[in-house]
Amino acid sequence: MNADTVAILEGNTFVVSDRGGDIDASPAMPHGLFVDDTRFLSRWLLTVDRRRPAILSTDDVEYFEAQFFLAPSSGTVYIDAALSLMRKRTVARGFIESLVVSNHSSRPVEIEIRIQAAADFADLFEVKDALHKKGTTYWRIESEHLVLGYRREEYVRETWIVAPDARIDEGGVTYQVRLEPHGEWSIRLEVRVVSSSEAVRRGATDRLATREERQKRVAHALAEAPQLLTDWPDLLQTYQRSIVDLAALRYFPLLAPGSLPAAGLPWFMAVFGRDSLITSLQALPFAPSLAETTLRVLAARQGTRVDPFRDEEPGKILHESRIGEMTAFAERPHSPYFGSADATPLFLVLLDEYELWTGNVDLIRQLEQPARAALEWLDEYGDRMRNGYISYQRRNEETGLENQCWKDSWNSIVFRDGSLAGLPRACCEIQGYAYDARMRCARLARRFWNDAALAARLEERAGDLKERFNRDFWMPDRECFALAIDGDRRQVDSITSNIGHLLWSGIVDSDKAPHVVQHLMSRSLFSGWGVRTMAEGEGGYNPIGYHVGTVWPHDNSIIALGLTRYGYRDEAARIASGILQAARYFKHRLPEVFAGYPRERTQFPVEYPTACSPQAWASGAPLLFIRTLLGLEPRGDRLTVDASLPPEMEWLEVRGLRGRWGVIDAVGRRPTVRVHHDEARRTIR
Amino acid sequence: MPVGNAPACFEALARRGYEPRLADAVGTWEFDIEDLGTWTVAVDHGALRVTDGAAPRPADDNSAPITRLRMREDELVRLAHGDRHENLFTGVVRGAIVVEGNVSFAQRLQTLLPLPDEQTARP
Repeated sequence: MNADTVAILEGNTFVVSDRGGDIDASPAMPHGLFVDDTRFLSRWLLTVDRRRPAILSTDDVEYFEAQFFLAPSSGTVYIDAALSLMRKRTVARGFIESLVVSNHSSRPVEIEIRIQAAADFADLFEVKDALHKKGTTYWRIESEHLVLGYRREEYVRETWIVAPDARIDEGGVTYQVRLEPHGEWSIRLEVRVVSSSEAVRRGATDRLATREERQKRVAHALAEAPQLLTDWPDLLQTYQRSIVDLAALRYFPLLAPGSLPAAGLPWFMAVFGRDSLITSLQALPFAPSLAETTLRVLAARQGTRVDPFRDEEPGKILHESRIGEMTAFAERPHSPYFGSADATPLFLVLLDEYELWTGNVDLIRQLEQPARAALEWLDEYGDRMRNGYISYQRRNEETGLENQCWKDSWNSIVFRDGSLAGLPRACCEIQGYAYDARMRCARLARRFWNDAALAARLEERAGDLKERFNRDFWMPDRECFALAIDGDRRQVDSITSNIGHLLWSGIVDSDKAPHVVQHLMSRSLFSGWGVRTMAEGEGGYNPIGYHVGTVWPHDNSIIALGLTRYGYRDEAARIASGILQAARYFKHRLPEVFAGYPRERTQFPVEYPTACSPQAWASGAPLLFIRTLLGLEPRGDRLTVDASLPPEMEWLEVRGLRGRWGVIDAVGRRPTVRVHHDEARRTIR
Repeated sequence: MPVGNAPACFEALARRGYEPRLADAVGTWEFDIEDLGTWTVAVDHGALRVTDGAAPRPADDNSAPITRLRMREDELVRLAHGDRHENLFTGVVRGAIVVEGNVSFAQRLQTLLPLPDEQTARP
């Protein structure tokens, strides 16, 4: 989202407008009221005497509400200061808009207030790809409603504009207003959405809350989250922003219980396996309930059969689920789509990590069968090349994803000379995840599934994988791991941030780790703000290429955790510090991605043009950085704290960390580190 | 046996008998097929039982989940065959299938769909 737009959201609904509150969608401007992947309003323009008012100020403090302060424009550079308008919008399943017009003069005023309205009912995919509709639109007027509708077979979507006492026509609603001297006029408009699949959404609709309840929810999220104290004020604001954004990005999936983090606004307000898993992992010390819902929902939708259209395979964890028109008519495979090779091992990693933090053994036992199916997927369907490595090649050649790793743009997996790798592709970080998943599940099998034979088998496979990986992926001439091995058994030799994920997984041999760290902290990978997705100097490098040179906060949070795992605490702190300093330039809300220009060249992090914000795993990144800086690690029924802070920070403290140990406070100070377990607050589970 | 109509779909499901991937599932799917009637498919740890008529009302909130699905016969047949990539999800989003009751349990039905080829072979 760029600085010229205002976005508010609630559940599966979001509104993107300009800073005056107007919605005016165009191919270059993805404005609209979006519900369930469908745009229910593409135009919502306020005019006063047929002119769009000037913007005085915008206030979007609440994630579900925005206020716009406006004044009629005079057609010149001046505004008509005798009148002002306050427009307040609260998003629900649709939105409520209150408009108050004030006459500041001592003369009566007569004006025409009009809101032009239109709905194109575009599927999010149609918005992104500028595609045309196949059904027909209609409109009707019912007492105080303007109804805009769309039909294609049984698929029906309607937008109801409720405008009391208005003059209503096909294109909007109009009021003739007379304002007495110093008088005020106000109106409350409602925009409701109706869909032919509404019956099944009733559960979600019932969960819609009042404004007060939503404010309470934000207050609750902040109160429930551990308290952060530090001498770095920017971090306090970033932390608070992250907690609120994660509460805001709650998505209610179709045919599933509870809510889980949606990936990001505006393009990824949907269930994404990988994003939800990583976000839940980042947030575990601070909001562990996210992980439980994520694991349950993804287990419930685990693949059961081979379906080439959806890239589905037995045991596979989904990639993305959508509920717009193109999915409904199978013009896109997202019902759900399974084109992700890393979500399955990440599911297993999160399952174990969840138990380590929470001690919730019930969930581990309840999800034993899905976990076993996921492990079988690693061995069978995941190993496409039959070489012991997880690799991918889409079965759906028409609308499936070419790249099924987190860097899923078409040009992300390239050789040093910039040429594309062959298929299938076995990306390095996925082998790390698979190694980690097997090691973690060996622990779960031994401790909770009463299956020592499985545990031994998994450890043996993991050990074998680690040995082969350190041989096959290592590039002696570059002293680095290859990005991937392709279908022609060639090492894809670009230097990328993926090597940091390898440290997190533990697959890297200790003698190779120093080389990996050297690359990560080199000028070619480390921009000064963070580690670039691809090193400067590689053939595919582009500082504003989505996955080939930009800096992703979530990527860096995982890399920092990996550096910590191998004992490189100063390097981890340097990366954490760089990204957290960048947050200040984004109003303390880290975007999905920003440009990879060197820090000394621009002095500020350069925005990526279509970055999502808020984006769940970018919001989760500060939480994981805090964990890393404090060196928080669950060990049995204890939480150990071993802080290592960057020079910018003298003191970092988290109070009220809940887990299997009860409640603990963790404190880190520079240069010496103090560990403080507040026994008085400790409670026994 | 071809499944060109609703009774044939439920007969095919009844012949299935046992589904190992539902070994951990207990619950009921009640199908209300427009202008034709109601069928009930119950699963008890993988064992499938198909009966004519509605499912018995649950005794209390702790009873096994019941999901009610309402659709036309042609939609049921399309679902059974997976025609045009149809699944429960696309049917619901399109508005061709209405799901009530325990909507989460509806998802488990997808494990049985589409019916394997030998059960859906057309004449």
